[in-house]
Amino acid sequence: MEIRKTDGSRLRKGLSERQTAYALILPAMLVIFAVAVFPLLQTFYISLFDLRLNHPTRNARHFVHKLNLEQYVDMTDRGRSALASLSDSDVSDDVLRRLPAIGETLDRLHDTLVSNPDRLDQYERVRDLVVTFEPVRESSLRYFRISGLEANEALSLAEQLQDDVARAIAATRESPSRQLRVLEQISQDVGRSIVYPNFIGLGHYAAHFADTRLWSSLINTMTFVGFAVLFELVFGMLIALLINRKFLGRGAIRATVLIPWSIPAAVSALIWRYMYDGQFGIVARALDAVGLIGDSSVMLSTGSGAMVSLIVADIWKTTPFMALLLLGGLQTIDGTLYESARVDGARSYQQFFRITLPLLKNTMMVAIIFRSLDTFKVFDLVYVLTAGGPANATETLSVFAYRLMFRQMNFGSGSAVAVVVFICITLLSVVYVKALDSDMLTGHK
Amino acid sequence: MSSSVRPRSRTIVALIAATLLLLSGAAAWSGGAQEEVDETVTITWARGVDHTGASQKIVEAFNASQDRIVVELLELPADEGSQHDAYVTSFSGEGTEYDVFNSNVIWPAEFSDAGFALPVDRFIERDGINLDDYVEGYIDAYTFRGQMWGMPWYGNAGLLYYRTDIVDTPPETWDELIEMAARYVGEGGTRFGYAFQADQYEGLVCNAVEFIASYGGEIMDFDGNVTINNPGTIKGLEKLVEIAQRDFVPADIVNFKEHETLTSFIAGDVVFARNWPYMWGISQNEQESSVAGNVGTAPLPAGDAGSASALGGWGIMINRFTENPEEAWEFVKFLTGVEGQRIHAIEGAQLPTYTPLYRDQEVMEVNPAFAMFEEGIRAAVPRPTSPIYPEISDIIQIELSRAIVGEQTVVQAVETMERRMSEAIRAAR
Repeated sequence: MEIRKTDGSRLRKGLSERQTAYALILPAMLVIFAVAVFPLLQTFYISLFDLRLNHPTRNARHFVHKLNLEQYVDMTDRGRSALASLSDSDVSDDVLRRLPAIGETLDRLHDTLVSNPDRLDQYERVRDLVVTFEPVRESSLRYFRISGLEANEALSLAEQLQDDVARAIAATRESPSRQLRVLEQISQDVGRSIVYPNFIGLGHYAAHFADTRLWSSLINTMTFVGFAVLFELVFGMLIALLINRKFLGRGAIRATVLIPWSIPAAVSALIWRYMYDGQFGIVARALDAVGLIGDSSVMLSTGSGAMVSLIVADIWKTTPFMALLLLGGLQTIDGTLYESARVDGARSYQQFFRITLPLLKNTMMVAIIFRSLDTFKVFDLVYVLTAGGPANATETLSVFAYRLMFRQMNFGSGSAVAVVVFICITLLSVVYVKALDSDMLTGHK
Repeated sequence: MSSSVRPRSRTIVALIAATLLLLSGAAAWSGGAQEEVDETVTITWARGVDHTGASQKIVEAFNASQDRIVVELLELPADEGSQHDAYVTSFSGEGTEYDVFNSNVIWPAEFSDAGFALPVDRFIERDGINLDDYVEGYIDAYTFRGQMWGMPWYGNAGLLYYRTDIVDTPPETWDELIEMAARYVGEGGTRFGYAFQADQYEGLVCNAVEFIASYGGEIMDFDGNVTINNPGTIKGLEKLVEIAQRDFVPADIVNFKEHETLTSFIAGDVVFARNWPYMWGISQNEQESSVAGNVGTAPLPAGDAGSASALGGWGIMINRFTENPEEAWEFVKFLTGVEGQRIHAIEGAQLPTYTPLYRDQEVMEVNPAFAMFEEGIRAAVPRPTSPIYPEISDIIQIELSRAIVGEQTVVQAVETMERRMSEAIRAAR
């Protein structure tokens, strides 16, 4: 009994301690969730919808059938006024005879959709706004829910309306009047005020995977990442070894090395664009003179030339960052190791491969992870330097996502690409972290 | 501690209360004056940066013409795409920063479908605006689904520029152009025979539309169906690709936009160039151009079906979410009517879409070249009208660009364009 009691109290005390601990880290967890996880989940969620900002009804997420009252009111109102002025004008009897049918179909459409007092009330309120050109701002007012059955019925009535108007137009001998053309347009469009559910599950992903554009931009991105990070590592290492030595003016050199890194990416991309220009670019001219390229225009006008141009510009810009990271690693290596190596008669290349490289491995891995993840998301450099061209040969995933989302306002499809970027980056990190882990283990052996 | 704080905090509360009282009293007292100020309505007009200063003059003229509305000019980056993105960002959040904004001729379908623009038919009808006074192509450009979504402002159309010191009579057909460009390249210090816009961007679509229309092809029909796969389109685009691959064009022609075309033309590097009317003034300016005095313009060369130039230009739209639609329209009416277009023609040298101005003495005295351009904008061919125009344009740019660099034939490009466009339209229906 006694023991159990103490156990119980100890347990209670332990729990509360754990709870306190969790309570202490909870705010941090919430912040992390809010700034990191939530946007990702939101992006994924959006990618499950056919969401287009420039589409009259698919500019919001819909799970059910709805009626866009703002559009419906605007169209039927204009339709009715066109019909009224048509009945008053001097159209031929053949046309006049066919007008009542149009009015009747409009009435039936109204009865089908605005079928109860609540809906009628909402309809009137929206109408008050529409006639004074006021936008309907609240979506609870703009839409009401209709059943799938009502949607289908309304759609067949809309088709009926199209037939009615087409018959009236067929009866005119001269070219149809303005009112008739307005009616024709409305009869074709009134069905568009019915909102269909736009949840499409993984439809965007299926479409992207079946298409070539995602794959080619993925290959472009990986080519860019692979070459850029490799050369940055090699050059960064050389610079780090240099500025790790003691010599006169080392401080000044260390500072100057950082200049490319401190220039904003968009600005450096513009600078490079001028230097690569096929007409007057200094880099293009120099490479041409040396004979490395056949013609000074190829740097930006061919797919492979443009990719090389991008990689070179990125290497120029971020090698200093790589050098800085590696320099930090070099400075943690104990100098006595080199001293004893020298005493043992090791040559300097032996020192480098036996001491520096093994001890620098972890720093190198961290630097490579940083740079790979960063480079994978590249946008500004590509957007300014080549804008994805020529012939889309330098379009990276981020540029592709940007085009879908902001140029074409296709947020669902663009979000799917953004999620693919995330997945690729996660895979990349997992591979690197695994490599880093095993490396650390062998290091500790 | 706490007892010593309390009285002090009380004092502070009292002080705040007193200040608030005073302020509210002052506000009540000045209420009369404020009401007068409130009667004027401020309208913000957004447009791409205007280096000519004409827009500011129009705003000043409008503000001076009445005392109820004050218009403020807000300049955005010059790039058409950046402006598009700025508007989309604002309007998709139902923003009201821009009451009135410049709209490229390719935007109306998209902006009307998205619900960003206010239809102006009721205003036009009420104020008796005579649309026959405007160039028809521009009225069409701002009409979508039977409604007007904005008013035309200034026009733009593709033209052929040539060096009068090298060429006597400009070519009349594309084949003649190819032959003459190859013959004259190198004369008069030139390095290239012909320059046009072949970069992967919107300008490539304009050039493509010109070639397609001049060979009788089309991209989409009036009802928005994809009709691109036809002999005229293929023949026209084959001509474009043939020219782009000839050695008399700059080797980096796929990096050429308007700016590069202008630079090489005024540097005296090219015999023939396709560009918009704005190049006329700059190429004739002796301080900027080494070919001033030796520049001629002509309609673009013809194909089997005649000459065609792409319809470009800008109109004015009203934000659907503006709080002052009436006042916004008053300004649009001024801006796109005779007064605004007149100032813009004289101060900004932009082609009016309001046709009576081509018979206005002062306008024509300042810009005698307008006489050459009027025919061009009247005969201009629009780009496809589609609510998903940016996607359609993107498809044309990529596939045509791939044909120009030789990755695929024109026939393959056209087939891919047809398939992709149909898919895109079906997906967005």
